[in-house]
Amino acid sequence: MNRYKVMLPVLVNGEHAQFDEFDSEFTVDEERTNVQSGLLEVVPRRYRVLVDTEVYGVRGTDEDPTFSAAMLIEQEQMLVNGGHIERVDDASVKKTTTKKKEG
Amino acid sequence: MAIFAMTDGLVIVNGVTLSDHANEITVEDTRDEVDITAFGATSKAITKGLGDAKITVKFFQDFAAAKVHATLQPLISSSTGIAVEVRATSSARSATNPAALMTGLLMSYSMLDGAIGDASEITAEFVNSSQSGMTYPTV
Repeated sequence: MNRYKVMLPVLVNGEHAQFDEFDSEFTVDEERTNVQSGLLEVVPRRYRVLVDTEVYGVRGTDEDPTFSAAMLIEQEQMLVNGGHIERVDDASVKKTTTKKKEG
Repeated sequence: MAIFAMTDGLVIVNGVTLSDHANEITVEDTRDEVDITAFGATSKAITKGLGDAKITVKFFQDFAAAKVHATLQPLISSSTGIAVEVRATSSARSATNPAALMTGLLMSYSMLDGAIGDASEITAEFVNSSQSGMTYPTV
């Protein structure tokens, strides 16, 4: 799941207006299309570097081994699966903002 | 910066600095040659067409976590463009140490390429995947 910001003056999913932020689980292709078209922007999140390799200018051995970046799902997966990084404070990500309206 | 020898090049692939595993960098920023010679001309007329960009890096292979293989191998099955940046030196970007930066795709990956006794070297070729082509930021 990533957090996105609406960049164009349209309503996304019928509820998110321009400059609103929301969480969603797009597929890799959906996300790429939405970001490349300029409709959405990935909201930066914090990551921790797990190794002594410089990732986004930070090493796992640094005093503060965290950094903030706006990564597409696939970019993030490549670094997570490669053992480079992990998300920081995953639990704090809001999980309800894309919930369908009840009724 | 005056004339210099390449001793401290910087290579960043998808945010991961791999300079300490690289020993050769080539940056190519090209334009197609388009022939616009018409009847009656006495000389060929050429104009510039579409741009293209490529960054080629030679790496020493390393299968440890977060090193060369772990960084490059996932890129071969991905269609998401990633940032590839190189600089003449590892110093910060500046007017005298500009970066060559593009959003690129890795189009071929040779996990092993060597003979007995050789250092295990591989070549990664990143091709342009965005309309911005090659840029040369100084900040």
